[in-house]
Amino acid sequence: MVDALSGQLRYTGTKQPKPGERDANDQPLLPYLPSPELVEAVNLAIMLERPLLLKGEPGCGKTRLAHSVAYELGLPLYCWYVKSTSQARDGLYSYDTLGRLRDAQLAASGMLKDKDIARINKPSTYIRLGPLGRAFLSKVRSVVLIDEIDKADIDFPNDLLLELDESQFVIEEVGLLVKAVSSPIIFITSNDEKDLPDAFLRRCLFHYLDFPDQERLEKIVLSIYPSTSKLLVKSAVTRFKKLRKEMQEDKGPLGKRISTSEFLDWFDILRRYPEDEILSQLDGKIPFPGVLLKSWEDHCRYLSQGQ
Amino acid sequence: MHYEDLDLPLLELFNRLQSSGMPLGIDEYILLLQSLQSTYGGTDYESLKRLCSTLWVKSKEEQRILEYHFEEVVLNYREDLSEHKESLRQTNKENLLSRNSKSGFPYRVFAGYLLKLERFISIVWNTLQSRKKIFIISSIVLILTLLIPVTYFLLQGTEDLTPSNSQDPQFTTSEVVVATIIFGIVSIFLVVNTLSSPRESTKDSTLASERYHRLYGLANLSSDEIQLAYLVHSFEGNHFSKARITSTIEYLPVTRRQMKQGWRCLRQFVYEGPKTELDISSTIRHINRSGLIVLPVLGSKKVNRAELVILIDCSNSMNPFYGLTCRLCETAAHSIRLKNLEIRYFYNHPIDHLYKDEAQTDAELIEDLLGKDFFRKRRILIFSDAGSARGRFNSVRIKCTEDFLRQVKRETRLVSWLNPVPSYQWKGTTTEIIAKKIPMFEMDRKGFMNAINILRGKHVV
Repeated sequence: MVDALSGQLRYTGTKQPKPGERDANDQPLLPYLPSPELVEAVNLAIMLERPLLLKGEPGCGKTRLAHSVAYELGLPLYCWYVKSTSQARDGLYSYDTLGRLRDAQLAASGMLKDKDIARINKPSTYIRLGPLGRAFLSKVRSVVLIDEIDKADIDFPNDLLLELDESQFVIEEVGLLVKAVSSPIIFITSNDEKDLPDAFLRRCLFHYLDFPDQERLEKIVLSIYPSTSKLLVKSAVTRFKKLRKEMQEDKGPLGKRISTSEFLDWFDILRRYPEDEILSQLDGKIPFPGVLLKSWEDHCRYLSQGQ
Repeated sequence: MHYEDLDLPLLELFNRLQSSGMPLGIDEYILLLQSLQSTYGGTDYESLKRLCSTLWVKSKEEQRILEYHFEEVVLNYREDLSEHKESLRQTNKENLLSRNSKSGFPYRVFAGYLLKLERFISIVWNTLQSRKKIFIISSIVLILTLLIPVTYFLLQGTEDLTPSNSQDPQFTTSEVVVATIIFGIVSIFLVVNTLSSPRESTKDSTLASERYHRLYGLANLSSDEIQLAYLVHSFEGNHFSKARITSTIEYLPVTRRQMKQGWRCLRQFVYEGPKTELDISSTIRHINRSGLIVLPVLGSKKVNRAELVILIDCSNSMNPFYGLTCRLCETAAHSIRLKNLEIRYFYNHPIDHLYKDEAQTDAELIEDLLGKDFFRKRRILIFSDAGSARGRFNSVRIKCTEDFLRQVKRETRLVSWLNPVPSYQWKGTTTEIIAKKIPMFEMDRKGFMNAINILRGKHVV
């Protein structure tokens, strides 16, 4: 919602999509319930115009936050899913050199019509803007998601420093300066596999997404599946938390723990079965362990304990 | 209460965090002030702490450091504030008294002395522990209980002796008995309370032990790269008095971050492998030369070909530097890809065997390694004290090391030596001679970077 007094955008985390609603890419939209600290951090990032770096366990909802913010504030969302081979320039723009070469050769051999020649003379035909480039040129303030930045090479965050600082970049091939009309709200997620360079960290705000507590987990489940019984929700959450605590004690802080998204998948299956059957199963062995436990050791250890 | 009303010690917190190693600059402080000036600062210390951590903290370890320093600063601030208020109150009282006294000078002086006495007693009283307070009260009451019948009987006795005009005794017998009984009960109750009051002391000690554990937990962190003040606790009995900060020293000379940055510099990009990438400039050159429509020219991908071999001395003289050794290996394994890194161990000096593990169980002959081209085209970093830890001069050691270095230098020219013992201790030992044969640096930040630069092929002054 836009704060009428100052024209500032303010995220509250309360506006949830209705069931069955879909976004621009025809993906189903699910409710997202952020913790109050996260809401604070998001609003700080919006106000100070700095990127927000999000870390947390896999499956805790780092990527979904950007979707939720864009939905609530009604802003366009540009996603940039970073790969290990990504270069920083790909997110800004890409220049179609091969196309230009092909067109030049066709023109040289006289196989092009006049209107095509007019087209190829314009440099902008070959420039394709990446997510960040499009966000800079958008007329309204937009939301940019840079997902899993630690997958890329170590130089990748360093190459983005100037763009993050000044919200502008130069298209080298054409010599064109692209300056942002309004600086976008940038969310950066990291899985903490590699260290990020200090100069990059300095420019970002940081928030660590903790695992939600019992109450919040129940609320999350109820918002996504509103017609399920509260008793089932409660017992599922309790059993899940117990399992998670056991895993944490056994594996220590670095082992893989079962996350929110796995829990939601598991609950999705649980609710399709008759309730009393599931409730009795929850007390003993975990039903449908394949959704939660992803390694053979985990299966052996935790299934045998259920008796 | 808004933050503008409070004179918060934000700058002190910032300075503390900066000196404990967090990379904060003046921009970060200005950022904090900017966000406080908006409506975001909450109205309590918790939200201020959250704000600081969102702006300044970038990892879990830093979060712990921030929390520790924040608590300290807020605690000190609150104490100062209350002390300030207390002293303000006292001076106000004095002023009030001195202003209001209408009688003459002596009364004012007397009132002043009385106030000073009161302040002295209150200070002494407040600094005493509550347990001691109870003890003092109970002992006073006990003494009074004993004194009353004694004085009464004494008075009775004296009255019998001195035939004075009938002055009734001050107290009747029954009143004395009642008073004695009351005082007795009260004192017994207090004594019993003092002896069996674990609640008071545990409350103090749990708070203090919490604080101690918090500090101690951070002290475990200090073996890591963050500079942290070393705290010395002195306590009498169960009471932890305020910690005295003795010194701010970093425990190990090169931090983890610095090491990782050093390892990252060791790169040598070479174009090799299958030709899959489009090479634009060579395509254009090709077309220029031939003038025909041609297929685009492809080139290979960039690959990091820098391979590193770390040879570590695991003899007993290197035991004090075990922390450094571990840190070196860990950061190297973290920053350098597995196939580009080899770590081997040797005992005292590299002759005959190199071991794959610290316990020296899996040995490989150096001749075999040389035959397998183990050292060829690789960068070699040797981490050893070279005899300077014991401070002796051993010509056999020199000869063996020289032989090894000669053999290795035939395979590769990028070799450097890191010595954890400081350079002023090298004089007169084996190290001095070895240092002339091979670039040797002591293990501090500058030395480490110099060693890395040698391995990159750069010239070091």
